[in-house]
Amino acid sequence: MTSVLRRFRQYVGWSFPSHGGFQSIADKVLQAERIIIVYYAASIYISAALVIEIGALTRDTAQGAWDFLWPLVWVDYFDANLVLELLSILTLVGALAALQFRRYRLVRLVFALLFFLTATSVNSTGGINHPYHAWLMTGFVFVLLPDGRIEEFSRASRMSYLTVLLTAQAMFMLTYTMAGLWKVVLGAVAFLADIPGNFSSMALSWTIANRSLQTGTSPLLADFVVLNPLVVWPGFLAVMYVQVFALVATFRPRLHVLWAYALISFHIGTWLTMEIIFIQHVLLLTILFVMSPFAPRNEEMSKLIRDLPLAKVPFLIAERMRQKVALKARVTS
Amino acid sequence: MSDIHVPGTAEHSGGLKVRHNTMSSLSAYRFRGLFLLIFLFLYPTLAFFGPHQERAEFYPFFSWNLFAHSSNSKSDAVLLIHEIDGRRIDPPRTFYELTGEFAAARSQDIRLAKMLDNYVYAVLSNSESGVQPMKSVIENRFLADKSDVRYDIAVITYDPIERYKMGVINDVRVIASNHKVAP
Repeated sequence: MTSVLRRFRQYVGWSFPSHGGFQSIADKVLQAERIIIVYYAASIYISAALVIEIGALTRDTAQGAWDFLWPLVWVDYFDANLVLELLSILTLVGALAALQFRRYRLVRLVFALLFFLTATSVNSTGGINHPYHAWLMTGFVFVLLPDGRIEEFSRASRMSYLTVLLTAQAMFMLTYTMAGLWKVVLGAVAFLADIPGNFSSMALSWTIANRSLQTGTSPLLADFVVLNPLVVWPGFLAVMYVQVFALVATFRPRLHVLWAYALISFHIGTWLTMEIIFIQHVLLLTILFVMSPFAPRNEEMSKLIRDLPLAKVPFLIAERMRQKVALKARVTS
Repeated sequence: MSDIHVPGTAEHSGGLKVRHNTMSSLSAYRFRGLFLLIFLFLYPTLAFFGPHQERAEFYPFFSWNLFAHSSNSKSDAVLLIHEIDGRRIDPPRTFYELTGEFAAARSQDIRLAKMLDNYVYAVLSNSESGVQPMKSVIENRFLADKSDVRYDIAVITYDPIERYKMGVINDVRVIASNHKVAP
């Protein structure tokens, strides 16, 4: 297994900066626990917001108008609105308990399950929205944290703690990478078929216009984007780059803070152009990556630039060309 | 997965206990490392190949195919309203345009648009069991403000920029015509 992990690390360029040994890990675990605390504290707010959302949904939705997803099919046998309201309140209590008793796996598991059911209820009125998916998965990943007081952890338990946090980070960034790959793959297919697609200069304008038409929204910058496609095109290409390499950035800690702010900017952009904002994702980016215990402090800019995905490509091309020129010069001489 | 403390061993064989704990926490660490790799493989697998049960996704897994397809020709499933409480809407208007009639149109609830995609898919695959629950949700939730509504589920085709600027729709294909009547 170790060799598999080692190969994986080499493949994604996993290069955790190594300042200090045991002391560094002890410090990182303390920082990691702060992240867990902030996650469950934020879960209280998110669960409270869900109580309000479920309250509004139950007021507007008659008993037969729910379209329950598989985790909630059993609710149809009861007074659905009552059950869902109770579940949402239990989730809020679960979040409070998870913050207070975060060192107990059972409490973390109960919160994750309750949050799962409550998030399912807001998606049981037609189509599925996705703001809670990553928050939910993070909750389930945190169930794997080692129990107990971190001050008394062995080195292996500390490494376990950090590995669980890394898993949550990787899981979250995987969602962006998947979103980016869709755009790149569909763009490449259209490009090869010589039809307009994601690599066309009009791509973002088509998307923004289409979104505005779908639900009749009038976002602040929609007109500007639709009428000035060439101005916003580089932004769309940058979004694809940041999304596709989000998972790679997870394993290059120097990029954690940069990628977090890049993706937060992307979410602010989707609000300005589409009136879609994944508040939960902005929070998770802040908690998992801006506060990342793996991100080195006071790192040199040149090292950060070298870590950028594909940053080495221009240097490699230049080096190859230099070698060719040198070879040619030798042959002619 | 946490440190295992074996009762009764501490007093008599402290060294053994320490070794046992270190071994178990080391294997727990290895398990978590392996879980990371498995998860990165399993999540997309379940998102793409999990049992979708006539839905667009296998909840709570998702392929994250969001606004991934840009083109100058788009098709969209819409709710075209023809008549509300005996009053003709001429020409027919899409649901989201009727903000004065329906609360869900005012709140621009995207869940209807997503469900209409599933509805069209269910009709085209002749799945009556898939259509009925969605019809019920449309009429009892999204059209709840009115008791009598005649509407079509249709697929419209258009150039996004042309429609955005001038409202041009190139093609309308009606998938189903329904009539919501008061119970």
